[in-house]
Amino acid sequence: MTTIFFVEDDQSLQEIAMLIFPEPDFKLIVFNRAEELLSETSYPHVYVLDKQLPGMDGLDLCRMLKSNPSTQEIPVVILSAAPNITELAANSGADAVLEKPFSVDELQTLITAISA
Amino acid sequence: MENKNTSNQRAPNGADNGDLSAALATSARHLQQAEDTIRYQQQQLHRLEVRSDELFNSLDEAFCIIEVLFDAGRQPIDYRFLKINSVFEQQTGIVDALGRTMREIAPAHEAHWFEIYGAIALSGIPRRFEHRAEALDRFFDVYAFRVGEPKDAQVGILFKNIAERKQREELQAYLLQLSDTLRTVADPLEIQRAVSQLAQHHLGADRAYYCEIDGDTIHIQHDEFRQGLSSVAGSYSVGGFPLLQAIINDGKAFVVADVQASANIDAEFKTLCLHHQVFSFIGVPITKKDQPSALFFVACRTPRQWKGHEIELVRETAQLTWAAVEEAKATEALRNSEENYRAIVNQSIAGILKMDLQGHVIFSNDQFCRMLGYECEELLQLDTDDLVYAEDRERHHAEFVRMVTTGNPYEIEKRMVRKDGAIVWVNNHVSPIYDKNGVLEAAAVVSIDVSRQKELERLKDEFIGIASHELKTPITGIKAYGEIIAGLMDESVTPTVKQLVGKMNLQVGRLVKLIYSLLNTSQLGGGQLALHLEVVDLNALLEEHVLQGQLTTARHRIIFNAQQLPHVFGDVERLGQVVDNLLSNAIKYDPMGGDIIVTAQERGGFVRVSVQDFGMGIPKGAEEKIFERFYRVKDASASSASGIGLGLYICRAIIEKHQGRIGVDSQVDEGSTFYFELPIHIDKGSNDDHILR
Repeated sequence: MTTIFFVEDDQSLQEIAMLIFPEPDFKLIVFNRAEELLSETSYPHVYVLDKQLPGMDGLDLCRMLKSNPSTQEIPVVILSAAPNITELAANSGADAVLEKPFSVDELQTLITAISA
Repeated sequence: MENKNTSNQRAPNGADNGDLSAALATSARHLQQAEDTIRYQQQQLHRLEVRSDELFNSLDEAFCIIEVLFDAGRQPIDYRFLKINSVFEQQTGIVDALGRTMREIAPAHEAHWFEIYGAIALSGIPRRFEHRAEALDRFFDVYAFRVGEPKDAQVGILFKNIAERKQREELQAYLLQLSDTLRTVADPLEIQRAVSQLAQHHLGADRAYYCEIDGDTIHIQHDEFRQGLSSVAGSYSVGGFPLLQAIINDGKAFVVADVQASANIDAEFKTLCLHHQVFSFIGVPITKKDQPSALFFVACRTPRQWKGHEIELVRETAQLTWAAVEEAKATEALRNSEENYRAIVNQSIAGILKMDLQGHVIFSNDQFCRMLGYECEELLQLDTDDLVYAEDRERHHAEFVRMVTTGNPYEIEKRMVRKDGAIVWVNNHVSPIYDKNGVLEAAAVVSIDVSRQKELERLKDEFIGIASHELKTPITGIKAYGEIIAGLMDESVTPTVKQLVGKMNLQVGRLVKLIYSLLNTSQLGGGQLALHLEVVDLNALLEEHVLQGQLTTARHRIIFNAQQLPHVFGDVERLGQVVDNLLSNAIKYDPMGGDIIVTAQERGGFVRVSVQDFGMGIPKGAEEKIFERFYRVKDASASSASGIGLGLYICRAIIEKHQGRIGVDSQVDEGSTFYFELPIHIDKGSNDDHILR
């Protein structure tokens, strides 16, 4: 089972993620804000972070995760509506970027590959 | 003659008879000798007179001897001609003068002539002088001296008629005065006034004016006239005066000594003249380019025999006045034009400046100074390089050099730096200025401050960016739902539902493309279009996109014949985007279907890729506009073709960012060939990707 911590404030995308990463192969934990994740004590196999979040944004959250020895080895995927953020995402330590609107297949393939 | 036998000689022996006879003989001899002497002297005198006459007559100047006649009070009142030479008649015009008095010949002869000759006769002091003899209509250069005894009151006069010379001198003096007058006056009306005054005064005329002729109307702006007369200034139609019309059209001086007596003047014109107390006149029309353009008119309120030199003087005056008035009018027009030009330039909302070929500002209007916050004097000390924003300087140079080389004007949008350091966006139209020999000497720049427009564009792009960005998240949801539904559909789902879900996903795909177009536009506006440059094999790229394009249409056949091509340096994704766009346009605007031909070939340092369709074509005049943002061809037959007019705008931006160019050749109803050209890549040993901003 692959545990995914999914930080996204859009409820539709939360719901879609639930649909495309079903149990028992996946365990999807949804967070509405970056701050919620920071109080979480457990660790997933992969973090999926929306770039634009209320409060702390996805790239800052990524930077914190990557600077924390407990989480720095866990892959981070950034979902972004903004174009051309590859460099920014790489600078924040992200392992992959997926630009919205992506297809379900693209996301599934990426998560499977990165968490393997 | 010497007489050796004197009268008092006596005989030596004193014999009376013999003495008497001898004395008589001696006397007779003496008498004979005296007679001989007298005869001889008379002969000598006659010879002298003949010689004297010969001498007088051989003179080329006139000569006469007069006897001055005095009244009882010893005042000289007349003179009589005692002797004249052969030239006399020709020089004076007087016939049979000998023995007659001057008063008989010319009763109006001026008194000063008698006074001068009387004084010479009395004093014996010779005198040289020049005087006019009005009654003889001549001007004489005279040398007069007393002849014989004072009691004889005779005066010898050596003289010549210098009337012609005097007239020449007078004309020259007059023309000099006229030139001086014209030189000091610049206003056309003032010239007319000054010249009329001068001519009237010089000729002793009663009226003088210069008038302009426009068709059959004469315009007298100003006339000089003596007291007792009234002005004739105004505009008159000459249509009712055939003679006046003929005079004007003839272009020659028209001289009338006595209007009332003249047989050359018709009744209408005579009435007009007499109404204005014109009894004699000289009219000189000026004809230019076979059209009457002006008339100089001098008139007297009494009959007057106009002399040749006076007519000549009026003719010269007319010509000089016309030239001066026209020059003054041209100067005035030029001054007005310059004033208008200056007013337009200085009140223009556009900045206007002139710069030399080295880029120095040599003129700036007020608006340009205001735009950049400088005093005009400060600007004139600056080079345009000092004014252009550093990042735009290279482009500014390149365009300017191209204009200097080719002479072609150009338009450039760039940033300039105000004196306070703030940035001003300007749209400059730069044109060459040539000197009179056709040599490029400077450039004229019309500069519009587009900062506000730029800011609005920026806000619009920002809005489009934000809006598109905000659309992306919900569209991701819709797209995902659609895909999930499609994945969940099994055999229990009806074909109609499957078809509808398929169509929905297709529309979502279109929406996604549209959002990308809007975002690209927003990036272009903000200058954020980034290229990831690498060496590109265009053949491979074209083949791939032609295949993809073919998949989207069953009605068209996309033909691509690969040729040996050099590589280019570019962004594969962006160039693919351009090819896709050109192909989808070719498909879209040829709805009936047919061939679409894709060609790529090398052309002088560039690779040209063209996409030819045989569809509806583009109307004339729209070829350039279709590359503008949100522009769509207004054509009913094309209205079914969807789009928001961004595709070609983005294509052009991408190609230009590759230092290339894009264009179209098109004929309505025959089809279009869109093409783009990219510079050939010259391998300098590095294949690293680059990011340009």
